[in-house]
Order: sequence, then structure tokens, then C-alpha cells
Amino acid sequence: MTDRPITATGGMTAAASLPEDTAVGDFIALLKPRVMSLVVFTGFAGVIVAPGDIHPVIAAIAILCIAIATGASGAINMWYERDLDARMERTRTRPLPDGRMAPETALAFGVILAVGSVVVIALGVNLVAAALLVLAIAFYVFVYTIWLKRRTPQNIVIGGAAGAFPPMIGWAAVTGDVSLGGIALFALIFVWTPPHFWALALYKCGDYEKAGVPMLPVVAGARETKKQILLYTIAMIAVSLTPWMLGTASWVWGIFSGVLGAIFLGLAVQVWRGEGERAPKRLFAYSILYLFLLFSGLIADSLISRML
Amino acid sequence: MAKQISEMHRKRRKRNIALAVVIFALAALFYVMSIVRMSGGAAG
Repeated sequence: MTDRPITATGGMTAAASLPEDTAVGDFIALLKPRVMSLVVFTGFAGVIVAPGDIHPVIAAIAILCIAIATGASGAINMWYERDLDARMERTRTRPLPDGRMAPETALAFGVILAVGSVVVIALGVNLVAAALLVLAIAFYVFVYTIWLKRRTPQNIVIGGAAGAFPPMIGWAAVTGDVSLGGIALFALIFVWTPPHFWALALYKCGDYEKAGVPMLPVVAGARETKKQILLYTIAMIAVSLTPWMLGTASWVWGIFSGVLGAIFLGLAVQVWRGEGERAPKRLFAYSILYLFLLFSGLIADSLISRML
Repeated sequence: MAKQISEMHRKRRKRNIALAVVIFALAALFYVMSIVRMSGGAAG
């Protein structure tokens, strides 16, 4: 008698696992809580910065739905990429490659949460926000995970759009439409994503290569990746000024954004000129801080201008 | 063996509790959402 459950195919492997074996923590891990926290934060910024008023409960429901949909997309992504995750150091201890959860459980969990979040946001908030949420989930699952990630080094560039939706959804929750201000916040995260991920990929290159993921450093080399990081950083700085140009944020925030962008550019130049892992690691860490500070500034700016 | 079964029961119990919490939270969410919507507190 074995202590391992028998799979649907009849085999008994280390990866075989019935849901009875799965702990609550494994379901939480499927939702990628760290990614979720940044997404919740940018979604919240969209709600605060958008012109107009929203009932706090409706705002909370919108943010909750954005968070759950992000987690659901993460769960479906982990279901689809369980073979890749098993080959990468960074991801091999996740519930699926580690055999702590059956793949079909993860898929069902992701699909139920995705559908549930869309239904709730449609009923509780508005249909535009719901449509954008569907688009974000579909983009992450079908365009990024299934279509692009294993095929092209541009996976991050195009797939990054999925992570850029939350502030636009937050905006749409308040206004009920898609306007320039929301698109500017979308564009900001969209152009921030490539330098952010390529900085990580520069020092995790071996991992991606082993897994067969055509990340830019694997396909085009470190030199080209560093050049692309620099070019996208310049584009990102230009885009980061649009909320101020559109009147969504004040000139004070515009200067703040410019200073943060200049530091980003300085670190990107260091990556471009240097060798080794230190500069990319520093840029990756700063890129997270950059987005956090930029959106914190937007929230503060919006709240202050409402009070004045 | 007995230890593994009790571990499985412990995990299953935790999952059941988590599921109960989620169901109650959903019921509360729909209740609050309905009240707010009926009082006209939503955009779009």
C-alpha cells in the first residue's frame, strides 16, 4: 500500500496528487500574492485619480475583483506553465511542479475565480470595467501565456499589456468609460514592463534558457537586451509625463515623475555600460520602487488637489 | 500511515473552513452590493 494517491491515468508519481493533499496555502500561492499586491495598488490609484465620485463599497468591490481576476490569471498561468516551472529554479517549488496539487484543480480554481470576478464586477460596478477585466484576463492567459511566451522574445512587450489594465479598470469603475487619463496610466505600465522584466531576465538568463523560454537575453544576447532596456526607459520617461500633460496630475507630480525617471535612466545607463549581475539587480529592484512611488505620488497628488 | 491520514484530514478541515469563510464573505458581499446599488451609489 502506498501513501501516494493514484492518478487518473492509473500511475503513481511524485507529481500525482489528489486535492485532499492540497493545503489552503497552496491555493493562495497559486494567486501569486506578490504580483497581486502591485496590481491592487495600481488599480486603487486608477480609482482615486479618475475624475468623479464612487461609493467606497463599489470602489472596494472593483479593487477586489481586479485582485481576484489577477490571481485567477496567475493560477491558469501556473496550470499551463507547470512544465516550464518544473525546469526553473525560481519556480520549481510552486504547488503544481512540486506535486502538491493536481493540475485540473488549479485550472478549475483559476477559471471559477476568473468567471466569478467578472460576474461580480459586472453586477456591482459597471459593464465597461467588466469588459476591461475580461480583456485583461484573456490577454494574460491567451495572448501572453499560451501564444507569445514560448514563441517570441517580444513576449514581455506585448504580454505586458495584461498587467497594464488594472489602473484603467479602476478608472472605468469610477467614470464608466475609457478615457485618455485611463489610457495614459495603462501606457505607463505598458512601457515600464519591458525594462522591468528584462532587468530580471539579464541575471536569470540561465533559468529561462534551461526552460526554453525565448526571453530577449536568451535570443538576442545581453548587449541587445541592455540597449532595448535603455530605449524603453527613454520611452517610459516620455509616457510618464502624460498624466501631467493631460491634467490628470499637477506640475508637482510632473517634476516628481521626471526625477524618478532620471534615476531610472541613470540605472539603465549603468546596466548598458556595465557587466555582471549587480546593475541589473539594482535596476530590477528600483523599477518596482519606481512604479510604487509614481502611483503613490499620483494618489497623493489627486487627494491633495481635491482638498484644495 | 495513520499520521498521513490525520494530516490529510487536517488539511481537508482547513480547506473546508476556508471555503465556508469564502461562501459567507460572498453572501455578505452580495448583500452589501445590493444595498449600495439600490441606494444609487454606483457609476455607469
